[in-house]
Amino acid sequence: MILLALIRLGDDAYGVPISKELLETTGRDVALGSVYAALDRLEQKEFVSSMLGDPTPARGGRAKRYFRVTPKGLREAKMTKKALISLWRGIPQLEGERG
Amino acid sequence: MNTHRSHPPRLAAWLLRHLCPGRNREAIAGDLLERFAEGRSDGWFWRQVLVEIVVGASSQFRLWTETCVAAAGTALIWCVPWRRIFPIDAMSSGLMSWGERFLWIGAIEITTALVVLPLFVILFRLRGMFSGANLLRVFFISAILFSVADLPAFWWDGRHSISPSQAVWVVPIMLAWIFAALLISARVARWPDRMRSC
Repeated sequence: MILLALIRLGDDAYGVPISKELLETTGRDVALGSVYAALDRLEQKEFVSSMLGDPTPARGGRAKRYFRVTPKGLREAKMTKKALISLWRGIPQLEGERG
Repeated sequence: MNTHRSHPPRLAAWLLRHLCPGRNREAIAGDLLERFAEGRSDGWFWRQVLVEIVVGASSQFRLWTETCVAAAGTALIWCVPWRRIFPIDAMSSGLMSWGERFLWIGAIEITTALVVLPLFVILFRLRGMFSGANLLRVFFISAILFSVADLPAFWWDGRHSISPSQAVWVVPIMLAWIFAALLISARVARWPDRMRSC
């Protein structure tokens, strides 16, 4: 979910927009600490990269940490989508349902 | 509703500054301030800080598990009464032929690797990478690394006896080597899994 949120946000992906995107799309208010923990794990696996932005007065002089999906992360997202679609198919209980 | 608050609960801000892991501290503190200024409640701020402390501590533990295993392994190896189990005095006194000595050194290294193996089982279980292949890999790597350190030690010890003043620096070097060998073994064991995921 976080990888997809990052792809949707593009260049403006840091903690606040990521958590808002998750809230809007899933309805869940995920704690920022959990978001950063997941992002750290994704960075360890080289699915995302991060860089520090400039400090801003609105944030008490603290810098934003921007995240971006790497080509490897994009491949992983596509593979996961493919796997989920194959798993979804052929389940009678879920067929015919509309979002 | 006040939408431009900039002073979150003082104690929560202090906890955030002092108990959160350094890597994300600045970014999270800034993000929390930004959202708090948008009108989030004190309760929301407290919840975020407490979650960050718990999540941060558990991720730090994940980062340090290999170091904890290496430290526990070093202590464990140091506690084993090697001189009672193996003829170490005879091995280092020159009374033994080199052939016999090599056999005993091999037996010691295999025993040492077996002693620390349960710790690697725990580490691999925690990391979700437990497999027979990983255990075998870590067993051989640690046995080889221990041999690299012990061979010169037996050669050196056979020619000169260690005085108490020499022991002051020999013992820390041995402990550091055991610690490093365990840390290297744990990290090298992960390489094939990492290569596969690339």
